[in-house]
Amino acid sequence: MTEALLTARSLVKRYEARPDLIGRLVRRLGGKVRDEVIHAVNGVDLEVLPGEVLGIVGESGCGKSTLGRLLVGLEEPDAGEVLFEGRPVSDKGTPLNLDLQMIFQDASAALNPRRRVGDQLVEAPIFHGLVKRSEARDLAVELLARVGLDPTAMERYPHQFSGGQRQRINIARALAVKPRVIVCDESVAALDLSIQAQILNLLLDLRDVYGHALIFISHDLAVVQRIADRIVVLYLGRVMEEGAAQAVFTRALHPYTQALIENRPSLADTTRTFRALGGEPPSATALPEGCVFRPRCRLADTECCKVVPSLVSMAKGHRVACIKA
Amino acid sequence: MNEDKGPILEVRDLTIVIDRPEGTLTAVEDVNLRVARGEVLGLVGESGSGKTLTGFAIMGALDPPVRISKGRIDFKGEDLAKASAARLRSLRGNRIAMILQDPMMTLNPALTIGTQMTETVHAHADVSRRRAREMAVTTLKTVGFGDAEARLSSYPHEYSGGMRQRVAIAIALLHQPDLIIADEPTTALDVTVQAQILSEVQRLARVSGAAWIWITHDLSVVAGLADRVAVMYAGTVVERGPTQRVMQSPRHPYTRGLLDCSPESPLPESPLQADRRLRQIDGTAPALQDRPAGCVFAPRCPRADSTCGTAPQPSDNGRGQVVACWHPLSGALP
Repeated sequence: MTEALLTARSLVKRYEARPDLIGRLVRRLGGKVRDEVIHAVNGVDLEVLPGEVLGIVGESGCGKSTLGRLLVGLEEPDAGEVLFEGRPVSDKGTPLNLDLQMIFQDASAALNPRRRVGDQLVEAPIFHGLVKRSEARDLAVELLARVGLDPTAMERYPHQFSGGQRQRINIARALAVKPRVIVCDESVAALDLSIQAQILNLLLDLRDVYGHALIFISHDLAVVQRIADRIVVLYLGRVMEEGAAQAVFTRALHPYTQALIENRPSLADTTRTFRALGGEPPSATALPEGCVFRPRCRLADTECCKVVPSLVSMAKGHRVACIKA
Repeated sequence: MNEDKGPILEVRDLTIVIDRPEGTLTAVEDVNLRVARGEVLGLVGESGSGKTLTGFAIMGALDPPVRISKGRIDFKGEDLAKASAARLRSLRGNRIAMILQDPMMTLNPALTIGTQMTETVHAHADVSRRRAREMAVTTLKTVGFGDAEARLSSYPHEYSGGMRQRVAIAIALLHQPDLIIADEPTTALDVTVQAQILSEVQRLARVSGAAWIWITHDLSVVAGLADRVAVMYAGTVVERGPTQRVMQSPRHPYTRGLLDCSPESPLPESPLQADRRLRQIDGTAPALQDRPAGCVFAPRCPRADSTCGTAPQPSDNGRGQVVACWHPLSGALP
């Protein structure tokens, strides 16, 4: 049994939405206004093994980005803990560990528009004393070569690159501190198909070279199925199903995972009829009692209102949170 | 009606240019498309391929410095490329409707759904307010709002993204248009919500007899939804034909490349089991000012040779699959 590199235990993260203008006014006048609480992550347990590709899938608002930020220590959990090799990853929202890096969806927002690419690449390694200033240039050249960019890119500014190239720069910058886990939060979602394939291949190549683990957060089932070893399916901040990618896609146990797989359009299927999942996507401000998927679930009955299903192991490494599965 | 069999829309040699101080740039070149009643045409391409511009040109919604420099847009026998602004205004929202990626581009956040829908009715039809309300209710029902009556008094912010998009679709359908152009309408939506909208559209296309142009970058949506597909690259249609045929035996190397680099493409049966790398199209699509002479795909094409310096003419393989390539592929995908 391999020792987990990164472990999350019973993670909970809530955000308080401030009342709007009218709400504040009412409050000032002495009225009562309830604070809206967004339950982003509601008790997630997770393990990341060294060098694996872990896919985290779910629809918008399921808490997958918040989970990613918690895992690298950009956010402090309200309850539970994240440990990297037994040590906590953050101190009040300040990341403590260079071994954990993140690549975001918006490649341009992640880069400083007013600094040259070369300077941005070596800023962190110099600051943390990983390289001397005199060696920084060589490091930048090496990093750029690793991600398939020309050394001349160093002297240029982010706006002089295309979206795919900017994402390559972000990848190079994450690699600069030799991380052991890289979290990719929708990192290819904004790219065209042909560029997306180039970036996915690059991520897999680099993983082979450096041996870091990849946590790949995405709404795109096809991408995750293609590259992940293991998959975690999130819904309303809870893990619905977890297991080897192959097993989850061929024998999905949770009704939500089944609906996701059934509903996705597919290249192969040119004669299909689309079918709709009942109900509207839920709000994270008002979690349903019992199982969070219950209001849209075809198997749900009164029993599902009473208990919050916990993850139960159904086969080796394949766990599901559903009392009907 | 006597035009049931023929195409509702036929675009011929449509060329769109952008006037710049430094010269005129060609954004869309010699595009040919046709779509018939009750049919869904998928217009597929990556960003910058000209698919949205083509949609806007059909809507008569191009503004300077963008203009049509050549070609015809025959809509029910009338050339829209030459139609007056007033004529286009009377067609838009009436006979031709558009659905955009962001429903809030269509919806006014400060007005109720009911007000917005009856306004649209009155823009093109001289009917009583009660009749306009009835039309709004009926149309909302067709896009799956069971409690349509109650919906009229609510505001867009009370709705989720998927519901807003369904309202936007309802507004497009109000006057039972002959042609509906949908530009990436489900791109921002979740898988389960997307499926809901696609199921409505499939049903509507069957019952209403309108022609749909579905503009998207997502091949897998087109595979399930469209009857015919046109693939655009750098301003030209490189391949078009029946969806099934194009998806299963693409003839243009770009179409083939796109299908290959989709994460859904089959895994290679290599000795390395763990190899999940995708086949990729190297390079990037050219910027407008750098569009190559001859075949626009040649610089990225594995089959390109010296003949590709001349632009290939679209040719039909006799089965409705039209391809613009000197070295088209044959045979089906594995």
